[in-house]
Amino acid sequence: MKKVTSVLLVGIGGQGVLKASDVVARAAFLAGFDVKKSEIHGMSQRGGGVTSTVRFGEKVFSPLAPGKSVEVMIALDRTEGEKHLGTLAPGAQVFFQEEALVQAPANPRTANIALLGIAASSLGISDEIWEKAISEELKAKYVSMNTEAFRMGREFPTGKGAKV
Amino acid sequence: MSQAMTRDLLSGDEAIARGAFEAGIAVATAYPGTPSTEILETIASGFPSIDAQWSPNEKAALEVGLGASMGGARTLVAMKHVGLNVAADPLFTASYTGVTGALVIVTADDPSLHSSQNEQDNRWYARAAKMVMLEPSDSQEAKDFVLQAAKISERFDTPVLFRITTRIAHSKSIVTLSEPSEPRPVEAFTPRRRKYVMIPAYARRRHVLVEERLQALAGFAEESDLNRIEEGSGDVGIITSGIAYQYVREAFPEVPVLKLGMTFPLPEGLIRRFAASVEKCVVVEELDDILTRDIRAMGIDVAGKAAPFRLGELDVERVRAVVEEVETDTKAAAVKSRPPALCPGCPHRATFYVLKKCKAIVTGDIGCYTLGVLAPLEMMESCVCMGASIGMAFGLRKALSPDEARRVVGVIGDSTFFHSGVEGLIDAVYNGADGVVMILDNRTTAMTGGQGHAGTGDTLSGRAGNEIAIEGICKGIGVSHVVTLDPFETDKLQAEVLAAFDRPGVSVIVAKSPCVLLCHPERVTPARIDADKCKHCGKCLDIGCRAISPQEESPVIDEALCTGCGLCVDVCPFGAIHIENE
Repeated sequence: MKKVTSVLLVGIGGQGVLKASDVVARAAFLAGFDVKKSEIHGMSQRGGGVTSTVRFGEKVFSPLAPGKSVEVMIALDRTEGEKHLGTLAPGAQVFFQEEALVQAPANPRTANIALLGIAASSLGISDEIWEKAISEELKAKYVSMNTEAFRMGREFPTGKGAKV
Repeated sequence: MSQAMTRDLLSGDEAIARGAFEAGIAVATAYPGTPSTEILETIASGFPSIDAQWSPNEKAALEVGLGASMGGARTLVAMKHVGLNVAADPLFTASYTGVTGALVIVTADDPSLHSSQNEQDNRWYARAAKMVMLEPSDSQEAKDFVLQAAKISERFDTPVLFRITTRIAHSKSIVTLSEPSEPRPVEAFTPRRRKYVMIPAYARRRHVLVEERLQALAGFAEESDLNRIEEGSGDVGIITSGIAYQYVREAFPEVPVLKLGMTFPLPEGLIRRFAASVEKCVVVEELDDILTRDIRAMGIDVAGKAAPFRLGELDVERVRAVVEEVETDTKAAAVKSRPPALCPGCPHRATFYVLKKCKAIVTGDIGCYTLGVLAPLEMMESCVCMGASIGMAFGLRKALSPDEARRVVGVIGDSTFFHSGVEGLIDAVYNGADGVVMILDNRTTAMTGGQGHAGTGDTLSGRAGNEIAIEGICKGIGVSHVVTLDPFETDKLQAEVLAAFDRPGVSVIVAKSPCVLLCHPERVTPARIDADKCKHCGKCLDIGCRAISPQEESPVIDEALCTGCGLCVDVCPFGAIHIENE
């Protein structure tokens, strides 16, 4: 079977985990992959831990990543991210929100998309498609500030997450 | 429709809404409930030609739906799994009446209780109500099966139960869209009294038809493309349905699979042929072992799963363990994620703070305020089902000593009160009981994301509705004392609660303050702690506000999270917390 890439996004309700995962799923869809995205929302939204999984490839069955198969983790909250280290595949890359904040966006509300920009180089999808995905998933008035945050993330010096 | 527009990435809920549009559904009703809420929200925002509404509860929603179907409109009714319990009364007899326009009833089950009070398996309802059930396994099927359900409903004169689970409802996958079909034309009303008036004489005859219908549907199940065999290799074959099918395909890409899209009634011939074609047949199903029992009752030898796998969701590893007949669930304990909490600025926090000071014994209900059970507030002793708080409060009083009984308070939200709380209150007034009920009116159905309800008058379609006053209902049914207060005025609220403890008759206190998510908290001034005045008593931490965190010296308020509600200012005994006036 052809390879499926699994991305795990984690954080706390209100940080934009689900919106960021919508952008990842949309980008994979626009890039022509089969995609499944899973999330849990509801009671957990009230300040609790939030996780979302995006899986893409030629053909995807399970919306949940099987054990230790997550290749890229995007953690908007470090503590929540550390709880999910056990789900990572060997050599997985982890991107923590702190990196996005270091790199600047003054508005913490776009930190989720800036972090996607940092992680983007690990996902093999072109910038043009990422920016189209952002414009389709975000409300019109937020598109330009998020596109800007994404570009800032893209220019982050290493463009690499921590290896585990 | 352009080529580019014919495919989209949709959640299961969004796909069901699209399916309703494509199936010519004309009327859609629901009460919000995770994970079903977005079905009606998507219909209302995306397909305004469908007459969509929130009802006060699932029973009312199904009754409106049945009436629309009786009149000839194709109808969809959606609810979460426990909502079907509320709607069970019309459900069972709608099975007898059948339909005129299609009637599709979506039940969204919640294995693993992500946002629910139990993880009941509503496949039992299909068997109990003798009603056909379809179960999609991704968003494409969620959309396509709504069209199939509508056709089955009209062809076999039956409501159709349409079961999804959280992983279907809230997962996105790619859907190929189709053109919509026209709704059924409006017809002149035709009396069909022997079909719709279920007096015993008529209902007995309908029951005969229900049994015949099940036979006919079992025959249909044999032929329908809803059920299919996927050829494969090896000695083991797997029978599965719903989201479990996806886990099976991922874990065992090569095995032969019988995938059931219609899980009641079952295609006995097809199952028998499939089982005979493999050396060993395993049933992989989430929650209860319903298919396993049904298939074994046909005299077909199938392997099921060990007891631990009846709990919670399946996933790829657990499916592997089931097929390999592992007896114990070896999957590592789930990640302990940060628990949810009341939002900073939530008015419920003020209410629970006051109830704690009053030493109240609280029977609770379903909503954001259920989070009042968690530390450090720990101000709730029960949470069972929508509306239960009021009846349980008056029941609890009957069993306790007078000193404890006087401190019992039933706590219920505004939307929950309209859903099914008012009957408990009528019970208390009718029976001459004494006691206290608090209605936490935050002007929305908050936990499910902020839907309007009868108490706000905001309708799903945006058409003008009417706001029904909680106080008016209470007075109308004879509650002797009704008062409305702002819970952030904690002194007044405390005095009112203490007075209510000793007042004869039923007292209702409406704690009215809008959900903080409805306001615009970024505009307010945050509170600050004056380190010089702080005595490190920790009282401000006892209200469980995420904006206040303990530090080595004084606690610190996170200005980005603080909404300036001022509760901590009231709580601090040393006047060390203040909000600077601009």
